[in-house]
Amino acid sequence: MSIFLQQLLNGFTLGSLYALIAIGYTLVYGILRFINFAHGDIFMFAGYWLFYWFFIFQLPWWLAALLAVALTAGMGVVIERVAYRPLRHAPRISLFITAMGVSFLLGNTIIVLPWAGGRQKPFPTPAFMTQVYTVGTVRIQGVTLWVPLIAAACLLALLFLVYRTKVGRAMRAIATDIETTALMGADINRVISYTFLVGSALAAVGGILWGCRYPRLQWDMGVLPGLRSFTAAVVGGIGNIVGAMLGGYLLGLAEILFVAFLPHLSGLRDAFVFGVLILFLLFKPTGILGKPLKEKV
Amino acid sequence: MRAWARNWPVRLRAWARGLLAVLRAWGRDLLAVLRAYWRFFLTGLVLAGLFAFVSWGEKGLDRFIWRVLNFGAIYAIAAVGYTVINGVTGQFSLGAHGFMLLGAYLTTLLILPLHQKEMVWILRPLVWPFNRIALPGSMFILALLAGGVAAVLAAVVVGIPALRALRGDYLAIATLGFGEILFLLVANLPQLTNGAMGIKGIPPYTNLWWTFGILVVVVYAAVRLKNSSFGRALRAIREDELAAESMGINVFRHKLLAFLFSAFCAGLAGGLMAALIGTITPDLFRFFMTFYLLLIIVLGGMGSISGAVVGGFIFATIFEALRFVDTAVVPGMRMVVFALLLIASMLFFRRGLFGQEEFTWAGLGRAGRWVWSKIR
Repeated sequence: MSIFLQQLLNGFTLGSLYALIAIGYTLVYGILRFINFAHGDIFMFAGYWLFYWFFIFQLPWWLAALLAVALTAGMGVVIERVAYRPLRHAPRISLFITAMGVSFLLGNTIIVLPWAGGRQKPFPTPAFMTQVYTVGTVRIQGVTLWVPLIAAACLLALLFLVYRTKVGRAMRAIATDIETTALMGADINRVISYTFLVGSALAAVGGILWGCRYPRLQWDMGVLPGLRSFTAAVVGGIGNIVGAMLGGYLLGLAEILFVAFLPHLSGLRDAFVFGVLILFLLFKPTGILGKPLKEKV
Repeated sequence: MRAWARNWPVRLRAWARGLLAVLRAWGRDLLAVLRAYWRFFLTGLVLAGLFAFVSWGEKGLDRFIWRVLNFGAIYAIAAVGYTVINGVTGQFSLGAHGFMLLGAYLTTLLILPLHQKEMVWILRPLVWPFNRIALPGSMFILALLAGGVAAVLAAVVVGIPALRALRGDYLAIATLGFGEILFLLVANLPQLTNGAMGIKGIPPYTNLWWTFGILVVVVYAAVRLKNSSFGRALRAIREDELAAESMGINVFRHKLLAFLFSAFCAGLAGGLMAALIGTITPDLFRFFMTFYLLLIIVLGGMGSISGAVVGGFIFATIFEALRFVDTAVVPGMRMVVFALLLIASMLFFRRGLFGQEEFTWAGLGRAGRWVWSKIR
């Protein structure tokens, strides 16, 4: 029983990380209707920023983490400005291709950067993450305690931002109808920049927490978590923020349980996730919470 | 004196005039034939030139250039298929690396010599029937075709549901997921594929004859496909699916057939590549392979078969030319260059080299005249 509980907790931790990353996919898809393929690599970059500030420039951990989040968020904005904005009126598939280009660019930039390179690097895990807390008879590692808590705090902050602030209202309005929102006097470009800022910042938090959970850095570590989180966004209903969170938690749990109950198939863990993705795309493309998109003729 | 003998100068002149008239008529006919069919003559000339080049190059070419040309032709084969589904039909598929993987592995399993099979599968023996089969070089084409057919079967499995329900980036993600599933299956079936350790010692059957021969056949098929009513239907689907459907086009069937064609080309290319490199691992056909193909068809112009061929050779050349950057400067720099190239061409050069047009002799003549007028 305690093993089962432990697995549930693991799944919940993993799921909260997926939820953080899935938000970025779903926000961008809701507004611009394209899959930001580079999101997984933005997530990966956060870990490397932390690596740089902590190991190379020897900053204290909390400052390094803050800088990493800020820089990653800034990267998201710059990428949108440079690579996506000029294509806003191009066919959507051009945006997708460009996003793939950006994804490969970011991943391989890590390989050519000094001190990073193609080999695995250690991730600086702070002390409070490795500490073991004892509550009664249950021993909990700092990671399993803090990761879901920090993730949940970020998700709550995001919900507040989207549903209780002016920028959030503008985001929701753009997601409904971009042209009408522009006519109402909202500065579309600024709001889209904000969207990328928020999405990338959450991905950065996710990347740092991911590093604490699995303390290794590698240039392609963003690809699979990115695809899995995208799956989470699809499962929850892409474009729907609560759906992305729900999908993240569900997918994290499902993945951990798959590995726990079918250990001899653990090599096919990602095949399981992709199978879920394909099945959802085929049979329930709007996900659990999404509303059906009307095709405009 | 008889009359004919007396008038011989007159008669001779008449004969000569008749002969000239006949010759002139022949010439006129010949010119008319040339004027009507000069494109075919030129194409035939080019094909004959290609034949001569290959039969010389197989022995005479520097090995390095020989290799680059083979790679170029293989990329071109895969890219021609890829452009038929992505460019001509406008259905964005990202699963090409999975199909190449299947083609490469099946071809390898069929042509690998038996003693090599015993050496490679040490931990677990290879499953029947592949542990009994080792096709000789003369039956290489059979192994290649089998690889293509395997890719087509996989494409049927994913294509029937996915092409019916999905389009745009959703289709892209679903096919990408399928490609990754194929990779994971190949990497996790050691008794069939030797898993992540890969397969060594594949007999090097691939040569210029195979790569260029198959390229010519594939290009011919793709051109005939594109210029037929089937191809017009594909282009109609790209421009407006709903309108195409209301014109009576069976959208799903057309999409599926284009998809199968692309999978077949990818399977062939995978088999050729395996027998060129000699050693394969599942990692060789990851997502970056599809990325290469995408770069090729974007550079060449999405939907242009000529663009795919030219792009394939250009890509192989750049790939080898930048090898020194990877080895001498910074490893990995090559991919950065490719990624920048893709982004830049999407931002500033979205038409590509050929747009959606094809190379034609008439077009070449127009271009030549234009250049000549600028020079003068």
